[in-house]
Amino acid sequence: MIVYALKRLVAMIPTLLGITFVTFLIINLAPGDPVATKFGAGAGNERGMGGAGGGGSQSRERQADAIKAKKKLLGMVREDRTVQVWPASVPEPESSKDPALPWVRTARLAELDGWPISLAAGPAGSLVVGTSSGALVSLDAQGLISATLRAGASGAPQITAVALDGDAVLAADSSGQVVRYQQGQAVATAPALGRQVRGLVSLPDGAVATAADDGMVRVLEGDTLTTRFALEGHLSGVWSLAVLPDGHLLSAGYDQHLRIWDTTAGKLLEDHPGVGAAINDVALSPDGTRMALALGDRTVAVLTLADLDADPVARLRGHFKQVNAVAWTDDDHLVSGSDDETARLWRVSTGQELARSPDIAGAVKDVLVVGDAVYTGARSWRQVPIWKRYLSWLHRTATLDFDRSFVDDRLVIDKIAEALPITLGLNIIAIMIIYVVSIPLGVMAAVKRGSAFDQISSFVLFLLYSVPNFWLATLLIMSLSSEKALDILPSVGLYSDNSIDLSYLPWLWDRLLHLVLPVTVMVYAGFASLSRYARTTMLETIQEDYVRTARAKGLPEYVVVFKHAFRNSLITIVTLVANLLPAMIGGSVIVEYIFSIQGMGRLGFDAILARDYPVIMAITTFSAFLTLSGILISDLLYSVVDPRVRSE
Amino acid sequence: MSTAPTQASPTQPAAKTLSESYWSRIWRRLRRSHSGMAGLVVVVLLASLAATAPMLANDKPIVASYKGEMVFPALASYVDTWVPWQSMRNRLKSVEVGDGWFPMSGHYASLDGQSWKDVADSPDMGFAVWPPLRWSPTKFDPDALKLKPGEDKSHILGTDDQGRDVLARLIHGTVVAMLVGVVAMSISSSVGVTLGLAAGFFGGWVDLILSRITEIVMCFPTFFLIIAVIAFLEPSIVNIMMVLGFVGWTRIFRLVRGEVLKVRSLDYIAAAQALGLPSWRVMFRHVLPNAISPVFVAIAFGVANAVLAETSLSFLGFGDATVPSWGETVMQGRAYISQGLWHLTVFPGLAIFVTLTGFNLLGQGLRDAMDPKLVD
Repeated sequence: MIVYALKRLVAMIPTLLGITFVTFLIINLAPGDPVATKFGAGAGNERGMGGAGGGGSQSRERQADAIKAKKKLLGMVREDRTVQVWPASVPEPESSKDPALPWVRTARLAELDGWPISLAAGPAGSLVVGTSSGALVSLDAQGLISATLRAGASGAPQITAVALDGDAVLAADSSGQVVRYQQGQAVATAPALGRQVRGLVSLPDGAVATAADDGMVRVLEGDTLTTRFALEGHLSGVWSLAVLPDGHLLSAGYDQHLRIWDTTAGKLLEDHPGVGAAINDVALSPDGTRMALALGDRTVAVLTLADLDADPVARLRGHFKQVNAVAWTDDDHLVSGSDDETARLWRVSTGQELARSPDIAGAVKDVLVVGDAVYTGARSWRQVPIWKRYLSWLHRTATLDFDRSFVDDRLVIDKIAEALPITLGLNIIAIMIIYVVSIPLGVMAAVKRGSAFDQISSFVLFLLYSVPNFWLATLLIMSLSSEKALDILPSVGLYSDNSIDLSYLPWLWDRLLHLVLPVTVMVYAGFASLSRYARTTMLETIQEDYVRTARAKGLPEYVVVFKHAFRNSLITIVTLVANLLPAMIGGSVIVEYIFSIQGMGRLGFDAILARDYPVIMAITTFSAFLTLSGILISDLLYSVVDPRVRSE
Repeated sequence: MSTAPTQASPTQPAAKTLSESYWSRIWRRLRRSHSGMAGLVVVVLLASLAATAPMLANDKPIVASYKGEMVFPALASYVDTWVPWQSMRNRLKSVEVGDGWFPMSGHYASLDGQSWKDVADSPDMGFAVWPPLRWSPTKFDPDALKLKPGEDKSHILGTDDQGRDVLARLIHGTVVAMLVGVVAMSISSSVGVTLGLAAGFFGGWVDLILSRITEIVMCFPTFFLIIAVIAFLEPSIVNIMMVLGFVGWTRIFRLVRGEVLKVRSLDYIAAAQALGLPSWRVMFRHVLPNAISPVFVAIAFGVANAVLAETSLSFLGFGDATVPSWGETVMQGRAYISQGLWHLTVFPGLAIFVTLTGFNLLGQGLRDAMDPKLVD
């Protein structure tokens, strides 16, 4: 027996794999990207609006990240947490009208803990990287992690800016804390502001300047990180700092202005109105005469330092979302990184785009040029190869990990756990009633074959079989549960609103009343098919030789019928459970829809309407598994009542 | 006195019984079954109702003399009701016969945006033969919303919430039911028969793989799968037919496979193979004709199932709103229970019930007629 059960189980493995494969195909091939469908316009709309800068872009960015996070949960993409490297010099295009070359990535550096979002160049080709999970590491010239200054943790503040001061590393995070590391140890800490610090530079006199979202530029003592000056002037968040060739500090941010400060005296020297867009990043050219601004209006502007109020000498257009970072290369080109998920290389003199990275699939947060290498730090994502996706889907199916519903963010498994018992309970009640009613009917019809009872019951059951269930349900509601006719049975839900207040017996009565209509609709069609089946098998058994023998022995008729014939015809009837089960789960959609019962059918119906893919997937998988186990159970039952099948 | 006829006569009756073909025997047995014949009559009636629907219920005349010209406006409705594909409909409507005469197009330039009912009494109209029911199933009529039977003499079974005549919708609903049933079952049976034949005839790996696939398809709750697919595709009647067809082949596959397995082991197949016939010939000329008969039973039941599935889809709101499906009217009936619009539930439901009964009776009659265990 156990061997047979095991054999049957093993035989089901291909079917199980097939089921997961089909659900996998549905999730991957369903028209429209499931995630994009859920998040509506998503990427499409952002293109039109992009670049307003400030808070709006932040929330759009979060939304884009949420989309990708969902995709990740669906197993379609995974986070790419490497620093990517690109060549700073590319073949010069022949004509100024040539389209940008595809930029070929030279390398991906070590996989980090979190996305690299802030970069700084260290001595001898090394790199200091701050990540979105709060990790701070330094990479050696080969791109391998040489030291971890701070470990990342989920929910930890992101490292928004890093800078080097001699052999010391300075890092600022989104909580506003600034830390100084020396030989791998934190030696000084400026307390958290509660506002993110996005700009961080070390000044020529050894002090450190920070730019924070609260609109203040702070000058801190280099070794102790105590505040020397808090410079007021900006109207809103300051996002970027640069040290000018004359040693003064330039700051810029959301209020579009460029301000120049004397950090030794702590006073504002100049205030320039900027170029009409929020400034995300500033970069001084290698020769110290020009300055590039990464702007919220999707462009990069280049100003001459000599006259910051003049019109930009170049305006680089091409990005379709805000530009987050700029950097100069040694041969006077510009590199820009943007929320549009590309990094681009520009020739400043003509404003021509020389090279464009392939879709990094994530907002580029920082760019850094060291010699001939351009490093980009981005919140990037990588497509997962389809076979890996299938494996992960398989894993998730096996662990019943169906993620959260798109609709209410509840765990899908919780929703199923609520709905499944309702549907199963209803179906078990219905199947029991079907068996209890139709087997006697069928047996009686077979025993009295050709009698009036046989003919009438067959005819009535046959007519019942052809009644559409949604019609019968509507008719029943119309006649038994509507104020226009009789109003004696409830037609909504499985209990009354006030049932919780009822004592036990009224509560039970309330439950029973609510069950009458749904169960009626669920059972009547089953009567016809099962009793007909019972009748046929019973007829066949009655014609067997051993029944004739039993009769010939002179046994009483009821013993012949029940002991000899009925018991043997039961074998085939039992196996029908498996055939009833899948039809009932599919059929429960209509019943649960009509009677507002929150079971699997209704859950699936609502999920389909809302394109709630995780729920749809979970229900399809669950129903398939249930059906498969139904088949298995009936096989095992069959082998119990008829041991011959085991030896096959 | 010639002896030749008397010698021949004893062999003649024997030859006659031998020559009764399989199909004529089944026909004879089916004719004897009352319920089977009742089913057949219902099916034939429904089919003829569907075939003549545009001439039974229409707001255009069948034939009329308009501005001295003989026109057949109801012909155009045939294209609208019977051709589910929009593109094919448009192509058919642009078919030109003779000089500038488009028999399939409902467009008559001289009608000037008026309906045929508007011009019925105008002097331009010579004579006109109108359908017995002068309502179109899809014509929106704001003046006749939610009429119950008897409230307006011309709307015999009342109107729905958009003022469409219920009886006209019932009549045209036969077209939808027939189309869905026939097209879906054609797809199902061609897929099921082809795969079943291949699985049964070749056996081995082919059988193993095809049977596994069938098992997988059978594991999914059919109706849920259909809703899911229809919800993601455009809910057009063509898509509904396709989905029903491509989901419902498993039963036929199993039937055909079983029959083919049985037939393949018979001696005459061995004989055909011994003759050196190519396998496709054995398969299609010798195995298939002897394994196909249970498919007809399955098709009869399958049509009933497809009609039930289509009306259920429409009832749930996943149907094609451009065609007059019975299920859609029942859905309206459910929505207006509190207003007492009972006719929206009762009549279309009855139509579905009659259709299902007809096909189920026919299927049962066929099954009994084909059952070798029941002797004549």
